[in-house]
Amino acid sequence: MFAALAVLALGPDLAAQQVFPTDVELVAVDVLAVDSQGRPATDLAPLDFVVTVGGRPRRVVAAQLVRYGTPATAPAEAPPPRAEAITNQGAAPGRMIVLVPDLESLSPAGARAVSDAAIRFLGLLSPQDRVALVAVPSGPKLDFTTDHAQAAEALRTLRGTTPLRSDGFYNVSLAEAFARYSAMGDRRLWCAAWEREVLKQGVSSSIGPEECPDDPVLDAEARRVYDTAQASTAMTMGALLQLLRALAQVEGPKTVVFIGQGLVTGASGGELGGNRRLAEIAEAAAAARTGVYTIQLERGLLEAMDVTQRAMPQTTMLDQQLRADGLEAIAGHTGGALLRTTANPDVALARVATETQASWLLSFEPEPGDRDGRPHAIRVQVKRKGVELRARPQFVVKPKDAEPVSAESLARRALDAPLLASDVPLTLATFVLGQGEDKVLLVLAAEVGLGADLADAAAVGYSLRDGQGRLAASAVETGRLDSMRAPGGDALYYLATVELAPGPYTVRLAAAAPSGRRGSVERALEARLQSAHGLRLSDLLVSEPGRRASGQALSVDGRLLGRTAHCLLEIHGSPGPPSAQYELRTPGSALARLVSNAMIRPTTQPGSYSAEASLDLGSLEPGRYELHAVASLPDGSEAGRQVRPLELLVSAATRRAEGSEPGYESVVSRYASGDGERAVAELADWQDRRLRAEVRRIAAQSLAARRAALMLYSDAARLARRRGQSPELHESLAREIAGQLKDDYARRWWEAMAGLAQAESRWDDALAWAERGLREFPQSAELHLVVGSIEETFGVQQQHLLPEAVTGRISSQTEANIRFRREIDAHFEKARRSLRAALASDPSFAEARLRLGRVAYRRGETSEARVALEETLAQHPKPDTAFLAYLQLGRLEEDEGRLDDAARSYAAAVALDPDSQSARLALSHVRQRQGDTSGARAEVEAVLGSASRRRRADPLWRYPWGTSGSAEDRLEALRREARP
Amino acid sequence: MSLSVLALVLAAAAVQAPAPPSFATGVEGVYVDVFVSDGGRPVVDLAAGDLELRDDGVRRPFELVAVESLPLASFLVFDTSGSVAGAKLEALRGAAGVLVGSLRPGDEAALVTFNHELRLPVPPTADPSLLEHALARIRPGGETALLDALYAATLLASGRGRSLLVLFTDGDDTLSWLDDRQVMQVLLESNVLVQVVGLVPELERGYDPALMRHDLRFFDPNNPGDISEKPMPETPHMRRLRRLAEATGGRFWPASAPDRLADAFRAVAEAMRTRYVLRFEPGPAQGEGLHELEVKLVGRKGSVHCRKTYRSGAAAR
Repeated sequence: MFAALAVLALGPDLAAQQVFPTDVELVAVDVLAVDSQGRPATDLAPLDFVVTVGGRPRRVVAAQLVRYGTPATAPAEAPPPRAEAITNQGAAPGRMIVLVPDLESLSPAGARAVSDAAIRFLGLLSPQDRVALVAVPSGPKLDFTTDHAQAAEALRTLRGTTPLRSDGFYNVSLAEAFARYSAMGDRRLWCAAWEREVLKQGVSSSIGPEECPDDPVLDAEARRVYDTAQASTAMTMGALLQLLRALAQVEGPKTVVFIGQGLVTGASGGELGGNRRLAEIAEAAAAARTGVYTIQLERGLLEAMDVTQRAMPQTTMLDQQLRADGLEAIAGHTGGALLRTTANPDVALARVATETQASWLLSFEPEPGDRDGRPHAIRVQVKRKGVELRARPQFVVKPKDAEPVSAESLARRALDAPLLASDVPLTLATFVLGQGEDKVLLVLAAEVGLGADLADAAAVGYSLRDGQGRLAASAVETGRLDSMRAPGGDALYYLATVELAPGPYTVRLAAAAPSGRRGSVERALEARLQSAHGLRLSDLLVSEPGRRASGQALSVDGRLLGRTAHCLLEIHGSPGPPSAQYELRTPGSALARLVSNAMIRPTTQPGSYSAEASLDLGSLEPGRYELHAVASLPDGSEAGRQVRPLELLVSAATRRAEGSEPGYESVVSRYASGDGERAVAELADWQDRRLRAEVRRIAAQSLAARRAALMLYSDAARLARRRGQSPELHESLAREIAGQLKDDYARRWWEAMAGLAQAESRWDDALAWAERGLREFPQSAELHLVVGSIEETFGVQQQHLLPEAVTGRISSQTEANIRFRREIDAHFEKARRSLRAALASDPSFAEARLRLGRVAYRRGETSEARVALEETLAQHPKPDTAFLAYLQLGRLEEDEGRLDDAARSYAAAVALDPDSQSARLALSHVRQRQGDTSGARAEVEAVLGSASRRRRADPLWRYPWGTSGSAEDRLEALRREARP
Repeated sequence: MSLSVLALVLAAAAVQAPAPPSFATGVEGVYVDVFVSDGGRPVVDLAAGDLELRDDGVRRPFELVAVESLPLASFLVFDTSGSVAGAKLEALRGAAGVLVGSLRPGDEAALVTFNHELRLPVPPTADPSLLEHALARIRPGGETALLDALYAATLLASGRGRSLLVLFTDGDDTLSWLDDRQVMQVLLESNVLVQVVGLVPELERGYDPALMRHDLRFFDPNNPGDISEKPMPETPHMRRLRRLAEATGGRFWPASAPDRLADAFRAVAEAMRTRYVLRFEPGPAQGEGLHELEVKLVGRKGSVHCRKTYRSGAAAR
């Protein structure tokens, strides 16, 4: 009762949003109310309706107007982008219309007319409308579909049969046959036929009405016509009954449009043979919530004209009436209407389209016997003048299930039902990601409008049908939902992935609560990656941290509540690492409000990369935005972009004031206990002010807590960098913590951080880390080495650009060249100072000594270089260091023209690493200079022969990165120490 | 491929190829590959009398050898470092097809690829399909050891008859052991003709404009021998590549975009068809070792592009 009152309070239009409630105690019947033009009457109230059941009035409690979708204005309207969410709320539902051409009665020309008109009728429907085709008694069939083009194709295959007319010696009309053989035969009419056919005369009065003698041949022809009509009717009505019974399995109200040239039940000819079957049809229509429009194509006169060589029966009108009898009866028994048309059914079909644009769902109070599953006579009237009702004369209410139906069963039913349910609000977004060469991964993300208390009880599932309507995948789960924050309050979060072959699909999502409430939503989509200049792009995924209890959630409808949005785009088919940039713009603007470079990472699939970034939305005001993910080819040119609309719902101020982050101690504790990833993710999302505040009070904490905090902030900085955000805040706070520690742990942390930057080729960063670290720990040989090696690299790179690098001559002393040389000298000088400082701290530091020798060589100080290199070798350093020392020594000797010594040094390097490229090329070159061309070529062939099967990288290839290769290991060691 | 297998492959390839003329020897004769242009256009109607050749300053008689009578050993030396990925690689594959398609019966070609590591995916072969297959399998990545690659390819190409080395790169050297002077020396002493195709936008990046010279010009793809009037800045790296090529009588062919690579390679192929080959025997006064070489026009206008030195004697073989 409460539900019904609520419907009343909403009024007709708002109530229309509540389509087909499934949890009602009231009895509901569907009626159409139309004006004289066939337009739906939409301004009625419950009191306008009068319902009587079994002659007893029932109070109409609710009259719910259901508006269906309006016709599509553009025939080829593009579907919404698949990443755009769809919902079952607020959208007009579709109709279910079954087209039933009666091929038993339709002539070939009639069938063509029906086919053509029905195809035009499809154009009057809305895209949501589902159409089925069932030709009776047999013929083309098509299940309910929104693919109207497919329905049109099926309609084109309609073929009529021979019309009901005489091909025999005599020409006996339908009315004449009934005049001869029906119980209430018309002797006068029959004798007229006898005169015309036997006497070959026109109708005359020379013979009395009962004076025509029997003619066996004429009688047989009349019998044939009579029997054929009856047999055709029996077949057609049987097929129609079967159809209606089948429709009872399909939830929701339906409309059958039966089109034929006639259905002869003999009512106007005195027969009653179709009555029993008519009663069955009425009952089946009531049980199926189906109204039947019948359209009679009156082509009798036109087709009678074809018989040009013979005298025509004068019974065309009577014949048409006989043929209309059945159609009229069916319409009357099912709450439909008979629409008659002469040549083509366009007008009649247009009337059906108009009348069914809205219907009323009348709910009235039940009586105990109503829910017995049997038909009950009902009469519905309307008090409003000029309004005509189409209402079934019976209703059937199934008894309640003895056993409660599970949520899972309800969800499965909702997946199979042609119509969508909206009791449970659903919002669904679909995203396509890559999955190997010939598959895609479809991601279904949904907000389910049920309370958190139903997270363990609600059932949600999906079905996927391919382009041919075949079931490609289906799953229903119960209790697998997670509560989430949604713009309208709490909701449940559903996420599923399905691996598919690329192609067109229709996906339906359904959810059900144990109470019986159901919701479903459906969309067609092309499960395919977007091609872009040789690359293939996935859909753009956006997620928000903290949106659900157990972490982040994909944004389903693009409405964001928090201050951080994580973005993901997959780029496939790239021969090398691509690049990508995220831009947040106001709609229609070319200017970006936020820009973030994506962190590119290879996926497990060859040639595939993920482009991820985290956007800080904290400074943006609420409103609509567009997120552009711009993917670029490895050469920097734009390959393509994905755009997704977003809406920020919470203001920057509110987001800042929320303060809903977890406590600092709990985050640090979580980090220290090993749950590093989650702790780091939480910390990375904290407000600047809060981060600073926590660091300020860190001095009061235990040493273990401070170490954990140091690593936590360091890792949060790395995460920020990976997300394309600035790591500066977290890094500066980490440095602040390290500044408070001042112990060996902190020194090793400085060394590891500088090494990490160097390993990632962030040369300036590495230099800055090392120099800051040296302020805290000026004796750190490792930090001095970082400075020295990077300055050496800078110097070498710039030296390479000097003109004399090619010619050996200083060709021009332009101001630019002089300045350039000074810069090179400055780099080498700084490198030398740092390397000497490293050796001062640790005289056994062979790597530093090696570099000192190489820098001296670069500066042209060969004596110092030789001493440093020989001292390096005298220290018996690690093989890689020795290899490089021999290599450099060989170069020095080669430059001095001591080719044999050089060859020996190079050979010593080759002995340390036989697969090395650099040492063998060096040896080759010195052989060439020695005049040993074949020996030189043999070394080159050895280099090429060992390519691809080299067991380890040439030490020279790693040289610019110094000892930074161990930075990750050192950081991991520090993390382990920070955990008790 | 192991060293022994590689040696077998190379030996087999040598057996299959037509017997090449001996190039840099002091006994049989020296072949000099010459390109003559006038106003940027190739001069194609020269007779022996239009040219003069001097070996260490001494004028020597020579004969003009029909270019088509000499098989050509082409070495495609391609940069496959990380920066080549994407459209550049696709364009390079297509452009390489132009060169491969210009091979005549008896010609051979090989493919050398390099990033920081040098590879020989296809030793010299007369089968173009092997090259096409290998080009399709290139996977870019890594740093660039251009000078090391140029050195190795030059050694492989030396002594193989009329040898052409087509070097493609899109960036600067980052990880070679050998330096410019070492490689230049080897080029000067070899008989290999080096043509360098460079993607200019990449080469321009990151340089101080003050260090650029403005003396390089784009070629006109519709008229491959022609040089357009549009000047372009020359970076130190481009200058390096140009000088290395010119030392061998070749030149630097800048391509302004990946889709112009095919034009550049077509121009290289065209230039090879419009060259002259001069054969001469060093005089008795010219001993073994490095010789200065000069070829100039007599009574004709134009510029002569050819190597400036050659080495005679055993070390040249």
